[in-house]
Amino acid sequence: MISFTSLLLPLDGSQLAARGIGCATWLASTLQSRLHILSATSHPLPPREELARLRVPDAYWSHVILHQAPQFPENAIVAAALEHHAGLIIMSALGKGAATRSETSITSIGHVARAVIEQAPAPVLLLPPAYRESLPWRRMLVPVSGEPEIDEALPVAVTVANLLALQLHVMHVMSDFPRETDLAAAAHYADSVHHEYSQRFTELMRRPLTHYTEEECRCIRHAALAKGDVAAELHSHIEQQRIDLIFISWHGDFMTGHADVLKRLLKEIHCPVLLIKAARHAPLKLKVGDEIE
Amino acid sequence: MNIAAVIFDMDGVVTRTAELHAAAWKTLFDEILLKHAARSGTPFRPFDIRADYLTYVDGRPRYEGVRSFLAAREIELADGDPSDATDVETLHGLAARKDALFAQALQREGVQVYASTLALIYALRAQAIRTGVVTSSRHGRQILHSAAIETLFDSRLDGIDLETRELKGKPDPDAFLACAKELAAPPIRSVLIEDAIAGVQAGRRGGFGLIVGVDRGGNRAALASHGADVVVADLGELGVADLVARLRQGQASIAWRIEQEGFDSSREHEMESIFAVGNGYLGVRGAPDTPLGGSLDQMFVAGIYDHTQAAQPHPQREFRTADGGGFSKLVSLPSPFRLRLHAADDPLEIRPDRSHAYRRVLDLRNGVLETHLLLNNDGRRTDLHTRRCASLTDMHLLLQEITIELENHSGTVELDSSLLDPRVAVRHPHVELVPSPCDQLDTELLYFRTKSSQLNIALASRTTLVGSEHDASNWRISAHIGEKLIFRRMVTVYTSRDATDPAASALAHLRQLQWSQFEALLAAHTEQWDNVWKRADVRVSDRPAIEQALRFNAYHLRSAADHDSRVSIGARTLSGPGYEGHVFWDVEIFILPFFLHTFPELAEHLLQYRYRTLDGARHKAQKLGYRGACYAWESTVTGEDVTPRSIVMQTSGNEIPIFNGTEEIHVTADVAFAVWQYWAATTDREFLRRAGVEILAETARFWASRCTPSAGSYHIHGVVGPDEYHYTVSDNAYTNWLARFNLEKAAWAIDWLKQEFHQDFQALVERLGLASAEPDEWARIARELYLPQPNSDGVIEQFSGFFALPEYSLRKEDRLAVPVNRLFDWEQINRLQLVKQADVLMLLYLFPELFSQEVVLANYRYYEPRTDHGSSLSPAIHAAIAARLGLRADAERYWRQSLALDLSNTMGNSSLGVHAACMGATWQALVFGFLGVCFTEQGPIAAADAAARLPEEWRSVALNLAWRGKLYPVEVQR
Repeated sequence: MISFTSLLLPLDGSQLAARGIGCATWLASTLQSRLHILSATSHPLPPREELARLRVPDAYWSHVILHQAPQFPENAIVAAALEHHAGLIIMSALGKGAATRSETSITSIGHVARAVIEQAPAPVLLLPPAYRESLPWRRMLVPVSGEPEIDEALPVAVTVANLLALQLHVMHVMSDFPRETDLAAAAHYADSVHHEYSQRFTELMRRPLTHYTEEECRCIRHAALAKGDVAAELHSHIEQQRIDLIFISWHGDFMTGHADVLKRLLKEIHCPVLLIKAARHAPLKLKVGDEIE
Repeated sequence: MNIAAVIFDMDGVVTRTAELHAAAWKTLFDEILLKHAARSGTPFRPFDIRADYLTYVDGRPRYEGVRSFLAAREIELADGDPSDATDVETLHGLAARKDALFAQALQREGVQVYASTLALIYALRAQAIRTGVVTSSRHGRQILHSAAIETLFDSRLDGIDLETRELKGKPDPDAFLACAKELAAPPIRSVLIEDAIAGVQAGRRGGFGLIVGVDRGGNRAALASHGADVVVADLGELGVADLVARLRQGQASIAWRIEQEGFDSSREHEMESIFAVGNGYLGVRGAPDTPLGGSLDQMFVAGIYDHTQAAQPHPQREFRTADGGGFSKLVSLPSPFRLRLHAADDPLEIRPDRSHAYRRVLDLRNGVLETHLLLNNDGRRTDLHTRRCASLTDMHLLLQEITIELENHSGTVELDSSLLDPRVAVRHPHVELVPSPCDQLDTELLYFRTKSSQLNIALASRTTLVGSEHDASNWRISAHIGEKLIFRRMVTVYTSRDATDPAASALAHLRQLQWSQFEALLAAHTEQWDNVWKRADVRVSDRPAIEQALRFNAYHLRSAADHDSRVSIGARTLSGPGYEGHVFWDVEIFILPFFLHTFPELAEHLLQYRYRTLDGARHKAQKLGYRGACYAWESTVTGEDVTPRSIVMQTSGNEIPIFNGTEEIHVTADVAFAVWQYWAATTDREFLRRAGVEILAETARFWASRCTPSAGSYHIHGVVGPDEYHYTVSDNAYTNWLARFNLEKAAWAIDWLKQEFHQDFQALVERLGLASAEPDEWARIARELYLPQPNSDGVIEQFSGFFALPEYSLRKEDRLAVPVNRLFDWEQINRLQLVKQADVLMLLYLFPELFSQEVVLANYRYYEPRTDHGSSLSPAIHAAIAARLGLRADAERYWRQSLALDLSNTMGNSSLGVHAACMGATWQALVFGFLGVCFTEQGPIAAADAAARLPEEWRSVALNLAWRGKLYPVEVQR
């Protein structure tokens, strides 16, 4: 179960990373969480001075625990997340390294952020390169696909939406080029259009929420079905509906050929992405067919 | 069936090391307990070398054993680290110390083995049965080596292997499954021999075919209750032949049940459909008795419909359709089995953050659903076992039994069996609760009214604790360690469709029942199911999985049918909300033959439903501008068509027209076809006289007005055939051939009535305003109706112009996957040679006597590659045709898809309820496809080549078929 009693904000001294301060302090204040700030600096200052230097507003200081060191490489961030039981890591997709790269070599995510999202024990709130702060959040989007591991984002999103009083949008985009897993994920629609499309779409959303009551799911204010390029459709919905945050569950592999939708979104959107790493699903054995012969 | 492998636990089964382990544990824990007593000032309660050993540590990895026992004694220690030394007081440190104590004892005492176990192992190996050994002990290899028995096992896994391979310890089945894998033995065909509770639990979870418990003293009942199939004091009691016999027995028994082990929330709604109980009057989904927040723990009562557009959840608002009227949606009601349970203040329910073991078993033979939930809350284990059924002898009665055992702790048990779901308004938006006081304090009464159709539903409930003197909805009992509390509940359900005052009826019915009758009521129910199986069971020798699936299908079909002719069977029965409970041609064409040849009296009720809804069909024909009766494509209780005209997607504004209601008129001829099938199978003159002739006449009238004369023949334009991808087509082969059948049989039936029951004939003529020339007119139209014929290649054109449509390249992997663009490109699909389901093949299936094998083969070869099976009705028909053609591989492949459609959730939508028509079609494909049964004056006979048509691995099939008042055995042996 996700817990937000402790948040982690790694800052590498870059302007890009510092963009997370507004969002992190707002979250800490709203969720009544402790915010651990990892501030990479070669000249440690007294905490109050450092917080002032980082432009953390006074009102939020009571939530902050400051950690200063010359640097916080990726393994230090992951270790800190473990040590402080962080429920969420807030960080920029690009940091200091972006400034040293030529424009053509800039990707949507730097090596530190990539290592953290792949290895961190907690969800990561990733600020895309084109991030524009828009606080307080009002609306968030969760794509669903019918694949249990991917749809794990939905219950977490419902929890967050209720904690932050956000409106939740849920969207299923049927890809023009479905992968085998898309077809196998039972998200396809069959038989009578007027019966199955509606009921299966409902079920697509209910299935990951078996532990949640209707009241808890009331935060779901919008549900949409679309067909096309998945990233483009999600981006379009984000723009049109003024979405402040998108939740994505992923398999944890950022290598070439993986997480294509995530990579596209990081390049194009302005709102943060909350990444949930898909967990191994609990086994269920139905003793039928080959299981009994 | 042979045994693939036998896997032995080591300590206590093969070697006499259990005593050494127990002694080491006692030494370890007594030291800790003494220290704890001194520190806390509490009395010293030593480790019980028998009870505590068996309950907390036997069979578990050391660390788990330490944690489990200390938790039970409420002693908290730090976890520590696996490298902790033996003198460090952490869980890991104590585990290390126990290891050291055991090693010392082993050194001191040496290893002894059980001679009887060795004798069994030798006997097994003499018969080339592979053997394996698994132990949590890190000293496993050392012990086997010391005893010089390591070569007796083809696979050996000890505690070190578990650690290096990251295999979880018992009760997780990881290690046993890994051993079975090494032995290349399917668990279901393997035997596991264990002496520990955690071990038999692991065997159960791992799906081993036979689990033998070895009780070395005082553990017999616990081993049996946790999953051992047989418990012996010593393995000398069992020989190889006994193991084989018991494994076979287990196989036979598993074919009578559907068993779920473990819990997966993402599949829960699918499981709720599979594990539904019902009796045709009502159906209750198989949600846990203590449901989850998002469980669809619903009850459906046949005939209780309301308007569609109640407060819909948000996702459904993406799709907007016009309201189908006041009787257009099967209403969900709160589950009558729901409970709230607490033991020692812990809720007894499945939570994602709680450790639990869950098992759900549908006993098909007896029509009873059992659940087992073992919760472990920081070492406090509580066992919840429930049974439930919807009585098959008393349609209004539901029975439930709840057994709670605090396995290793004491505390207060609270049970709240109130029927009132506090979230009823949100979860069941089509009903409102009507205050209805109940004058009996020990009885609960709930009274609902549907919002639009104004139907009333009453549920009355009583709950008691076995051994107590009274009833109550709420119980609070102090329970001691190991004590079992058994609660029982009876619920009665009535509606205003059954009684003028359903509340009074529900209460009166409940008051008549005594608790002393509970077992008898349950026995009467199971006896009734026994009668069901005497007629409906299909035996396939040595194929338990096939038998199991066929029984599962027959169970759900029988659970969906009632002796109430005001209702029929909805597409997803009463097991789920899919298709809103609407009745389609599924019943007459796919389901009815099953009932016709197993329970003909239920088949008659299904046809009487069509007679009762004839007025609705007349109304529809009139609305469409025709005469007679045109049956609703989607029907509920009135017979009015509740199919919407279109569906609008809110996000895109995309409007998709629905042509089925106005164009899919073959359903009318399907009903007539079913009437004729019933008449042929029963020669029930009363039915034909009082209902059948009128149905045939009114449907024939419809066709007579619907057919259009042109160039010397009649045509039927603007229809949708069984292949629903194509709309507004002309001369659909299936529709035209069926319409001709309808017209011909109606003309015959009118003549029959005139000859046999002249008064009834005159009354019918008067009532229908039937002109004397009409029957001749029907016969003439039948003769002149255009019937698409095989072309030079032997292929029948599905409808006029189909052959001219562009080909659609359908990949094999896209079958049963449905083109995802249907919703968005529905017009384009209409213009392609892509077929949703058997259409021409459906025609050939229904009329095998009219078409040659060559024509059937040509059509199969043509249409089969063009069909994507977007309907669950399609694969079984393909299987039947392929079987008749001798295309055994195709037949078996399609039949297996159909057979396991719900059990394997092939279409991904079983969460909305089971696919009744698919189940019926599967049965038909077996009987009329593989067995090629046809009926003669002497009863049913299988095709001469039936044995050759059987799937390759089948040796024989046996079943009973009803025909003209008698039940005939049919058996085919290879």
